[in-house]
Amino acid sequence: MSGQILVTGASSGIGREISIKLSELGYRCVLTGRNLKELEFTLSKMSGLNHTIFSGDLNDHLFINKMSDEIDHLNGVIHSAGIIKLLPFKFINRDEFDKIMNTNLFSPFFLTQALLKKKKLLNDSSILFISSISGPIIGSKGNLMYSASKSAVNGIIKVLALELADKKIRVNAISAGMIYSDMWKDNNTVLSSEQLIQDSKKYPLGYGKPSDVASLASFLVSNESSWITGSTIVLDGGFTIQ
Amino acid sequence: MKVTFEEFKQKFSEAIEDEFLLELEPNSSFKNLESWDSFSGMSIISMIDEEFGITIRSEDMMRLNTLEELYDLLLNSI
Repeated sequence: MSGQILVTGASSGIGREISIKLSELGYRCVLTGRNLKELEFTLSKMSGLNHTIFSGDLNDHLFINKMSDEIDHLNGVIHSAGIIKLLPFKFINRDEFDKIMNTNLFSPFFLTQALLKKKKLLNDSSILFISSISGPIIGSKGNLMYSASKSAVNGIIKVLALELADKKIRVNAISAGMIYSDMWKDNNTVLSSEQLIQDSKKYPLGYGKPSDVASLASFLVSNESSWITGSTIVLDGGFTIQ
Repeated sequence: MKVTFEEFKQKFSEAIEDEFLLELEPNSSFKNLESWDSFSGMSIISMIDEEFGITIRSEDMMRLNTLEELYDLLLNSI
């Protein structure tokens, strides 16, 4: 495999695992995330040379513009940066809701738009959003904000896929089930380990790992999936077939 | 910030919408309430965060049994 792929959220969890996997397959990667040290750690685990790092906050449009200006042409972009916060409906406030919608929906959208406007996405390239079963397929108590953001993502990929089809640019999403990643480890205060263990038993194949997402992501970003666009692939260890 | 046990109990019962709670004694076990589930825990943690600006971990809360112990945890965190 060859070409250059931009990975957001490459400083931890799923984004880190995707970056490592893509490097092993021979891609050059552009890693972005807020924490430079963690991005450098990801880089230290990767194969090959010529990967680059852009450290910054994708909620800042100046950073998006700067990175889109400086970046070399891309064969793909994988939006894996995401945040979650569980709050019962009546405790949700505008500030928390904005934070989640900004990071999970608006930032990846405006980054994609900037890359397209600056003609950094080559024809035949692939745009992939790491989404969720939460929102598009299932609901769970307390997960309203995250579910709203992921349902929106699964909506926009269909429109983008149509608008970009002339350029043979493909746009897809992975609706992942519970992946016990850094996003959970770092931010979860409301679910105890006992509750997580009980929840994992509801998954026929158990909770997923970041590497499970990385395998599917590397397929969807490659030319091996050249007739797949506007699709959401469910990756949930059998959870939603029950 | 001063919060009395009665005020705390009021907020607690509003958060999980269980009026019966107002009759509870300080040494009553909140986890044995009929209406208690994991969503109740999430609601209580969210209420404490919103009302008092304090983040309590589910792990810590689930180690406790009585309403008074939870109230003490809150007072010690303020």
